[in-house]
Amino acid sequence: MGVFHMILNATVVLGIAGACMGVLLALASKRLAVKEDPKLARLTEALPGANCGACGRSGCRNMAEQLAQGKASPNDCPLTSESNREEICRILDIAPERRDSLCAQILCSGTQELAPLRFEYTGLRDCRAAMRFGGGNKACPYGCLGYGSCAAVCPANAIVLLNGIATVDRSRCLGCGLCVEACPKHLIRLLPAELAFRVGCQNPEKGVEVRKVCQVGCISCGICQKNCPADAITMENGVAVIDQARCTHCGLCAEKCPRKVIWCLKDPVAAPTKEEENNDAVLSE
Amino acid sequence: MKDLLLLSLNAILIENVILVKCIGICPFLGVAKKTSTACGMGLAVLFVVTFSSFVTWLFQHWVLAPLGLEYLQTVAFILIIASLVQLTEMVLKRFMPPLYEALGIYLPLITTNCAVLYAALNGARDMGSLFSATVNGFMTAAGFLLALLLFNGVHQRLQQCEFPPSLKGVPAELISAGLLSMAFMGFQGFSL
Repeated sequence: MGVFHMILNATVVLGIAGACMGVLLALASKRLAVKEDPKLARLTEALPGANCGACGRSGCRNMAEQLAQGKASPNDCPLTSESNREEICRILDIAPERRDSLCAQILCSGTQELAPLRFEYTGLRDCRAAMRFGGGNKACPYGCLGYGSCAAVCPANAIVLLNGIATVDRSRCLGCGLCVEACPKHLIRLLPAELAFRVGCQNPEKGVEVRKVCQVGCISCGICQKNCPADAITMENGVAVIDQARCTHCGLCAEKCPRKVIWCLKDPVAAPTKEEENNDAVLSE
Repeated sequence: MKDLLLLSLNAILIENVILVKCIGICPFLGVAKKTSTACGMGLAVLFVVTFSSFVTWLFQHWVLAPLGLEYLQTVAFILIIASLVQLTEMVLKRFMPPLYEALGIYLPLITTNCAVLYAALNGARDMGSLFSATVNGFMTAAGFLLALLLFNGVHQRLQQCEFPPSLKGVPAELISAGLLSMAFMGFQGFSL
């Protein structure tokens, strides 16, 4: 009986107290409602709502407030889709500015079949944790470890782990750059989304060294550079770099590359080779 | 008057909520980096603690004690504090927008601040009158603000120091917080 009373008393008292507080809050929120800018709700609606902080504000709500006050530009948010950005510009009654859309690219092509591992790693599935063991278990010290620290921070789930390396789904990538900061190997670059070809390697070592640790790594042989009709390719830090402004999308570099490390990201003008098609399929997956 | 003075001294220095009781360490370490945020957090706590000490004392002595339900203190106080923070937020937003802007994100954060609960429990349990409970709450929060500002000063000095890599950042902060806390042990000598 005593216990029953105790439980009953406690429940009733807390229940009543909770209900009183609830009613009080409900009344207060009705009574004290502040008329806010009707734009604010529409702006919040148009923003992605990911609260990722890539714009430098403390969440999408804050961004909407700053937008309404004219303290922020719609371009500050890297996640908003093109149509939503236009919508925001309409709400704010300003002219939309062109923005170069960027897309994350991972500078490593060494899948588990192509780039050997030095040892078995069974620790935490996190690149930063794996890095602690002598820089990770991949033989190539510059290669992708494939434990997905980048995928974990991606707000759009655009990074998938495929055959032991991270790959970016370009259709989903929003170009926010969170993965660039997350990668302990500094493997991820934000490159223009129009880029048609890219070199999937950042190993600056000499060809001999690269060959020891990876079957696809760029050996800086310069064949692409010699074959490029538009002089768009230069050798920087031991890897080929394609100048987007000069590239004519002919696809000759990818075709001639002896290591097949130049990846086609879009349909080239020339017919794609078989490898390129395969690579394309991997990328779009 | 003498009693109130002693009560204030006790709440601010001798039993400082952060540096002596080690309660509310999270905002202490997290918010004290900038003077503006330290002030914002401290003032928001000051506001809410004073208010909640008042209400929780009433709840304790008018509701819980007559019904013999003192063991519900913690859960009931959490309920009250959470609702009060919400209410405070609404009132401020409506009537004092500049203050609301200044306190910003810190106001809702206080819902989960244990220093607030400590002050409420302490006041409701040990204080004989509503007035002294409220003053105790206010002064406890003043001690919180004092500790935040002191540590903010220490933090700014720390940033200009060279540390060995293993001590850089959080370890150095924790050590200096410990030293600050030891300095406050000196006040234990006042037996009031």
